Amino acid sequence: MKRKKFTVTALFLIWGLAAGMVSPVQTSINTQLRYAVQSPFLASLISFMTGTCILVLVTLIIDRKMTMDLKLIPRAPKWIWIGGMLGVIFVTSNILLLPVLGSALTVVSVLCGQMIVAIAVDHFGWFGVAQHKMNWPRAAGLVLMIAGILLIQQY
Amino acid sequence: MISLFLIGGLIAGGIIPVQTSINSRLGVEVGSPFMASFLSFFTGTLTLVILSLVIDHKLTFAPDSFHNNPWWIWIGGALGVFYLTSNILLLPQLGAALTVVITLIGQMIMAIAIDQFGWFNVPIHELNIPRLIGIVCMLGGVFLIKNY
Repeated sequence: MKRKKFTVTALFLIWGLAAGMVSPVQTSINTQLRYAVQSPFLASLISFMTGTCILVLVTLIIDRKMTMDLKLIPRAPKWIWIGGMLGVIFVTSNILLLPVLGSALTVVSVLCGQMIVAIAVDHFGWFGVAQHKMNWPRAAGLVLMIAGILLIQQY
Repeated sequence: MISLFLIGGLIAGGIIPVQTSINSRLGVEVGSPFMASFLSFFTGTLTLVILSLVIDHKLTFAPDSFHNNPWWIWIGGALGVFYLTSNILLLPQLGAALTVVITLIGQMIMAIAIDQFGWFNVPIHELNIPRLIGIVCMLGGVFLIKNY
């Protein structure tokens, strides 16, 4: 029984590893698409459009429906709809950064920005997230990350 | 010049936790993380239609791009969905910290390989000891932040 649980966790870990590996490949592929269609925005658009089509299928397969309560549009906070626009900034920035920074430095600098804002979101409890104050180990973690970026950039 | 691009990377990365918070609230409102992902990609597509029209003044590309290029240049969006959906499904199984760290290790392995071998026409940048130390520092930093 215990052995089975271990095997299942190992499978999920391999899946997580594979999902992570896909991420820099996506940026590299989108950058090639940018040169093929000669515009970073059009490359992002094609990437988002194919993603949207695939998500229609994923949603239909997993949820077996594609509906939502339209009454939530006036009721819910307005900012819940801007996630897609932020995704656009992320995907398009990656396309623009990769040829200059290379793959490792792109991943690392994006990650550092991610951690800085994640710490701020936790610290102030923005977007209804449970508050988690900044502490010394977190600050040390941030310093280590920045040292890491500088090392990768210099060598 | 390169520091400007690094700041660009920091800003692009800073958007992710904000987007994750917003999309997870959207998921609660519409009652499905997949519907929320779909709405996020759909509004992103609409934003890019406007952006392309404003900046490029067109939404077309040469039709011979289809046979002048390798087939895989078109699958970036599919990989994005795989990454996103995997994260949604793995989170309840592995917990937040382990999900972040394991996907990150995958990202670093692949990013190093792409730089090392110059795959996808990315300029070759070979791995050396200081770069390896930098990557270990970075993983250590993420581990500290995620555990405390």
